[in-house]
Amino acid sequence: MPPGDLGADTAFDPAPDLPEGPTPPSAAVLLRCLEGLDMGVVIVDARAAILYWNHWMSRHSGVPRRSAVGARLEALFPSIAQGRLAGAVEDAIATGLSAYISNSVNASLFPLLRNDGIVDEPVAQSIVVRPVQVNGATGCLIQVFDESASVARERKLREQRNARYHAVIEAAQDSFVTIDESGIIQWINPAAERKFGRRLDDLLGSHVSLLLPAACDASAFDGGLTEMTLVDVAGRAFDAEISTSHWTSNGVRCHTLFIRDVTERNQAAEELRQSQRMQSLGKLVGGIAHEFNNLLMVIRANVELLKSDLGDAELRDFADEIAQAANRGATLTNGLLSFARKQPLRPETLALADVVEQTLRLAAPTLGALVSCKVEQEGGTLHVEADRTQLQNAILNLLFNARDAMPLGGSIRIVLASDEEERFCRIRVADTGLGMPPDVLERACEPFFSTKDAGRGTGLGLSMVMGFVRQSGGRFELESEPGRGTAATAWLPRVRAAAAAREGGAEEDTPPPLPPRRILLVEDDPQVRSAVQAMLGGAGHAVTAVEDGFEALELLDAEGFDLLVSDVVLPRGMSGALLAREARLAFPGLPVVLMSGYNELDPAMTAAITESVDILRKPFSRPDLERVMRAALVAR
Amino acid sequence: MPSQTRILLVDDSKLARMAMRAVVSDILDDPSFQEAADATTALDLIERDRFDAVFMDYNMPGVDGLSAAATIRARHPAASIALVTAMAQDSIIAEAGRLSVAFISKPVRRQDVASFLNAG
Amino acid sequence: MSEELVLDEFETDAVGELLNVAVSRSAVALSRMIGQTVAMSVPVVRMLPRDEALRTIEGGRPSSLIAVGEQFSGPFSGSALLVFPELRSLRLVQAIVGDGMSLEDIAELAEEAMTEVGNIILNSCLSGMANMLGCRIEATLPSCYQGTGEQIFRRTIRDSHDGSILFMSIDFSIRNRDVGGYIVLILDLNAINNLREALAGYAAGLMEPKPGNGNANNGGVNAAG
Repeated sequence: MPPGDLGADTAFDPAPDLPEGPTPPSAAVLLRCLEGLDMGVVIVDARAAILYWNHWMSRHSGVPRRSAVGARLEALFPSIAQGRLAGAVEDAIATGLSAYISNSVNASLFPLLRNDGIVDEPVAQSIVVRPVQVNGATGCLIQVFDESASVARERKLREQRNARYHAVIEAAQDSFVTIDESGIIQWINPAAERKFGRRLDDLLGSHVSLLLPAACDASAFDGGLTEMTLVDVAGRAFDAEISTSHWTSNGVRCHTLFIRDVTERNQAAEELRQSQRMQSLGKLVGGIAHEFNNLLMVIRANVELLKSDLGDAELRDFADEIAQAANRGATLTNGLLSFARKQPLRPETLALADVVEQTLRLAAPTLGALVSCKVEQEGGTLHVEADRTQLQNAILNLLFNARDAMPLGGSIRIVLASDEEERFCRIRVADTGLGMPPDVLERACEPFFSTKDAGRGTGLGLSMVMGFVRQSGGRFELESEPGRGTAATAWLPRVRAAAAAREGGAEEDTPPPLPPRRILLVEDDPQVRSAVQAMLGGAGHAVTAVEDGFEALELLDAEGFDLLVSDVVLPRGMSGALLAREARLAFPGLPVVLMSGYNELDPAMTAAITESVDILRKPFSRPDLERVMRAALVAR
Repeated sequence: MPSQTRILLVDDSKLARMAMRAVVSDILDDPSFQEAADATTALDLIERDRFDAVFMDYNMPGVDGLSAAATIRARHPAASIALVTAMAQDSIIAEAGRLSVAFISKPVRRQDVASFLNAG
Repeated sequence: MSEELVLDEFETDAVGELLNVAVSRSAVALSRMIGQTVAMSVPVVRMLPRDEALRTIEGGRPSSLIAVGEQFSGPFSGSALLVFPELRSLRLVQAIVGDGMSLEDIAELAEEAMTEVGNIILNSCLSGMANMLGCRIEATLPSCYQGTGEQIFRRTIRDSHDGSILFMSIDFSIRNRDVGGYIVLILDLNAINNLREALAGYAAGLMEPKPGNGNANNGGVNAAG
C-alpha cells in the first residue's frame, strides 16, 4: 500500500479531537509529518497486519515499507512473539486496552539499530500500544520512542555519581552494610566483602543477621553507637563497633551500618587497664614490702646483736630460729616484689649446676615420693649472670608446677645446656604430666592465671619466672600438649668460663674485717636506725646517725665522713637518691651505700647514680653490710 | 462410550465448575458430575466412587491441585486426571507431566477438554 | 448504602475466579518476560466502601504507597488500581530486574518498571472480564502515582464517586520473594449493576441446555471457561 492511501482513508481516525482551526492541515500534510517524526509509528489493522510503517521504522529496522506493509509483526520479527508486544497488540485489538512497554523491563522489543553511519548500536526503546479505529474496525497504533539518549544520559549520570561515591566507599577500610527497615541487605562495600568473605551478589536480599547474628532488624541500630562480637571470614571472633546512618530513598528508609573492627583497640585498652592494675598492685605490694623489710631488718639486726652477746648455746639456737624466721620473711617479700618486677636484682656469676642442685635439695621434701627428678648437663660447667635468690625461686616455681601437673606421680627431667653461640644457658624443666590445651598454654604466663584450685596457687608462679628471666636479659618459653607433658625453658645470659673462674675465685676468700671508718647513717625509722647503728658500731666503726637528708648534708659539711649509709626512703622531700647526688656534688668521691626495702628508686634517678652508689637490700646481715661497704670503699 | 461417563470437578470456584460442566456436557452425551470445592473433599469422593475423569483446579485454599493429583495418582495409577489452571508455569507443567496428569489451561478451551476426554 | 453495593455469593465467586485466571495469566506473561517463575493469586475479593478500602490499603498507618492506575470505559466504567507499599514495590522491581543492581539504581527504574507491571496485571484483569462477559472495555495508558493512600485515592477517585469499590488483595511471588499488594477496581454505580447483569447473563448461559452438539452457547465459555 503506498503511503498516500492511508491519508485517503477517511475511516482512519487517529484521535477523537483533531486540531481545530480555520483550515485543518490536509491529510497529505499530516502524513508528511508522520514520515518526518523522530519516532517510530506503526499502524496495524484488526487482523494485526501492518497498515502503515513510517520512515523512522524503515531506517532503524532495515525493513523497507514495501516489505513491512501487509505483513504481520511476528512474521517480520519472530523474536517479538516471545515478548510483551504481541500480546499488547492483541489486547488492544480484541479488548481495547492500551499498553506501555518500557526498555528497562523488556530486554528486546523491535530489533532496531541506530544506523546513523557512526555506530551500529541497538536503539533503546519504549513502546506505547493503543487501540485505534482503522477502516471501521479496531486496529492498533504502535508508537516507538527512542530512549537511547536518555538511557545513555542516565547511565552517565549514574556512573559519575557512583564514581565519586565508590571512590570513598570502596577505599574504606571499615565494612559498610546497607539494609532496609526489615533488615534485608541491600548493599555491602568491598571491605565488608573481604571481612566477611561473602560476595555482594550472594548477600543481596539476605537478612542482616547472616552477618550480624544479634541483629533482628534495623531497630537494633537505632541507639547510636553499638558494639557486638562478630565472626570474620577466618572464623575469628572480633569486636565490632557499629555506627549507623539513616537515610530515605523513594520512601524507603535505609540504614547504612559502618562496622569497624576494634579488637586491637579493645585489646590495647584491656592491656592498659591490666598494666595499670598491676602498677597499682605493685605500688601497694611495694609499700607493704618496704614496711615489712624494715621490721625484718630490725628483727635480724637485733638477733645478730643478741647472738654476739649470748654465751649460752641453747639461747643462741633460739636466736638462730628467730633469724631463720626473719630470712623466710625476707624471701616472702622478695617473692611478692618479684611478680611486680620491682625486686632489685643482684646479678652475680653463678655455677648453674650448683644452683640447681641446691634448689633441688630445698625442693625435695615438697616434691614428694611419687615424683622423681633427674638433672642432665650437656657440655662443661655453665655459668650464668643472675640473681641467686631469684634464680632459685624461678627453678622452684618450675619444679612445683611440674609436680602439680603430675598428681599421680611422674618424673621431672632438668637439662642444662648452652646455646650454639654460647651466649645463653638453657635450663629446661620437663614433666610427664597432664599437659595444657592451647588456650590454657596461651594464658599460662599471665599474672593471676591459675588452673589450680583457689588457695592452692597464687597464679603468680609462671609470670614471676617470666618476669625474672626477662629482667635478667633472657627469655622464657613454654611448650605443652594435653597428655604429653609440659616443658619450660629459660635462657639466661651465659658467662665465659675464664671470667667465671676469676669471680668464683675471688668469692672464695674470706675478706679481712674493714678497718674502722667514720660513717654517717641516715634512717628515719628509729628501730632500723638503732639496729644498723648497733651493727656498724659492733664492727668497730664510728657511727653518727641522723633522721633525714637535710640534717645529713649539714653534718657532712661540718664533719668529715668516710662513708654515707642512707635509707632510700627519707622524709621531708629528700630521698636517699637525692641525698646521694647532693652529697656526691659537694664531696666527689664520697662512698655511698643506699639501703632499700624494695626498688623504690626512681628509674631516672637510678640511672644517674647507680654507677657510684651501692645498693643494700633490706633486710641484711652484718656480712652483707660488710661486703657492700667494702665494695663501696674499694671502688673509690 | 458405552455407559455414562462419570466426571469429578474440583475447583473452589462455583463459576469455574459451572463453566467446565458446560464444556464437558457439550462434548459428551449425558455425563454424570460430582463436584468438590476443595482437594480434601475430592479425595474423600474418590475413595467412595469410581470416576472416569477428574478435572482438578490448581490454585485452591488448603491442599493445592497438584498435591491432590499426586495423591490420587499414588492410589489410582490408571486414573485420568487433568490439572486445570491459568498458572501455565513451566515448573507446574513439568510436575504435571511427571505425574502423567494432563494440563488444561484456563480459560478453558473446548478442544483441550475434548482431546483430554478422548485420550482418556 | 443500598443492597446493590453488595455482591452475592455467586457474584463474588465469579469475580474471584475471573480475576484469579486473569492474574495467573499475567504471572505467566511476566514470568516469560523476565525468565523467572512468577506466581500470583487473588485470595479474597470484597466490596468495600471508599474509607474502608483506604484503611485496608494503608494497613493502619499512613505510609508511602505506589499505585498504577488505568481508566476504563465500556459497558461498565471506572478505574483500576494496583497498589503496593513503596518498599515492597522496590523489592518487586528488584526481583524483576535482577539482583545485580543496587537499590538506588533500581529506585530510578522503579516507576517505569512498576508502571509496566501494573499495566500487565490490570490489562489482564480487564481483558479477562471483557472476554468472559463478551464485551469490550477500552482502557487508557497506565499512570503511576506515589503518595499516601489518601493522596492516591484523591487523584484517582472522583469526589462524586457514588459507587463502590471492588477490592482484592494480590499475592505475588517472584524469585522466592513474596510481595503482597492490592487490586482496586473503582466502579461507577451503573457499572456495578452492569457487571452484575453481565455475570447473571453469563451464568444463565452456562445453565441453559445445549442446543445439540454445537459450540458453546455464548462467547464466554469459549473465551473464559
